[in-house]
Amino acid sequence: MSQTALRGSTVANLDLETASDPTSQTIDRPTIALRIVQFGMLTGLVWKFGYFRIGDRVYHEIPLWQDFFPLWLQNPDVLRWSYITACVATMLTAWITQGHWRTLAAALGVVSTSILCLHQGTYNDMTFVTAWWCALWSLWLSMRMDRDDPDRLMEKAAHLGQTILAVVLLGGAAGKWTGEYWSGQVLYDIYFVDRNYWFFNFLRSSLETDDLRMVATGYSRFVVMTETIGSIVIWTLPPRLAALVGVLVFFSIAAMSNFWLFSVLNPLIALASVGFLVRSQSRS
Amino acid sequence: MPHPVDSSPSVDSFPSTADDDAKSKRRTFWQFQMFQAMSTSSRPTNGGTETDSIDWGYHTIRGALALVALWLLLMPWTTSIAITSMNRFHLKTRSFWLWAAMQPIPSMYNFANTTEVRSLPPTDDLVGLIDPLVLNPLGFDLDPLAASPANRRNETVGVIAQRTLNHFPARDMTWATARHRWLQARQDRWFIFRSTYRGHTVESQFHLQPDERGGYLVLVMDNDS
Repeated sequence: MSQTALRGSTVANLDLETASDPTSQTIDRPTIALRIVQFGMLTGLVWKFGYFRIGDRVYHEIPLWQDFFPLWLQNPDVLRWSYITACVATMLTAWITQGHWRTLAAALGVVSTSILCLHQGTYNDMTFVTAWWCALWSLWLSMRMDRDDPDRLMEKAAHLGQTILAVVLLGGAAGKWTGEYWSGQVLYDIYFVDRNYWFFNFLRSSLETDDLRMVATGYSRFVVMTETIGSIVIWTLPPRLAALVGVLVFFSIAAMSNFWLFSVLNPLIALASVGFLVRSQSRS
Repeated sequence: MPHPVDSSPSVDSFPSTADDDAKSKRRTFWQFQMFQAMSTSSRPTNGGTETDSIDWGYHTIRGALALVALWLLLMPWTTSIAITSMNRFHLKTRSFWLWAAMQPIPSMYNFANTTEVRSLPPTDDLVGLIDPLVLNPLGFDLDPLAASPANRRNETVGVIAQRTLNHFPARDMTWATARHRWLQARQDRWFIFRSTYRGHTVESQFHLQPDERGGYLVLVMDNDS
């Protein structure tokens, strides 16, 4: 095999399915998958960096003393360092190739995102819930990378990812199986009345109030059905089709509703795309 | 055609680390990362079969996901789960660690959640005793903090803003932007959170009292669910 050809390869040039190409035989798919998910997690974590920077200042200036949370989970310094640690952990997990150190970095990602899920200043942000599930997936993958056959591992990684995506969609759907969402009232109040986003600005400028309310009903029912059907089918599909569906669904949710939602959905889009790396031969 | 894994090339067919050391330094970061990813790894490629160790991590995560899915699927039909889930949104779970155990459950845009921010306590008889002219003698906006169009004004005396939130309505007192908006005045504030789901409603009231340490004490005004 030509060393020059190997050195000259780039991501764009990789043909993952060309088995006759010797390069494709040596692609370390689990490592690529791990790095894609770390990239998704990192972009998700920094997507709202401006908010977190403001939050850091506000939490120091206006502390809330609340019995519900343990004292250390009200401390803004804990939040600051957990956030920094989570970002650094994703970079280290992607960078390190030695198994034990990489697993340690992935474990650090789980611990730091766990704190962010529980802290008084960030418990409400679903960014950290999706990041937490992806961190858990990354820890598991890192632990298995030196033990399992790569093709078999990629099948399991994709299927575990699909299951996570299905449960995330189910989480969104189940909470909307109520009249207030079926009527469209909740999303009308949140988005259609005054949300400054291109899609809703366009609708408001194009429609009368009554028509806008009707569109809100249709929009809300579409969201409920998409999440419900998505949660049922996404983990039953073949990996590549599931990857395509997952990427399209999660991208469209953010693109059609809220730019900031990419902080929540980037990790999921990355996790969905892992399915593209599964060999079609190994599946059959 | 042999299975790609079965025909793993030998390590000798790839550039060694020593040989490539000088050239590696010239590579860009991503080229180097991709090179590493494409190189033969030291992991076993045992002819497409899994190693004999049981993958406990895989089964544990799948088990956790199954539990979460079961919880979510039961929520519409089980009142206690629905109420517990709404209490989680209001930071009213009896135990913090029980609440923490529920945090991995995805709950984007769950329930119909509304919040009300007040500059006066939510007590009907007290509100009736206050003359609105005293609060607003010149007819100015009572609350410049409620200038955001997302905050619907309410004519009721003492109400600063009302709005609908996608999830965790309690964030209207804890989250950074809300904390800045409602609490920078260093005055008493009252928050009412209401979540409804399939005919069930959970309402919570909190009093935020300025504290000499520079922040606020969060006092729960009710404990019923």
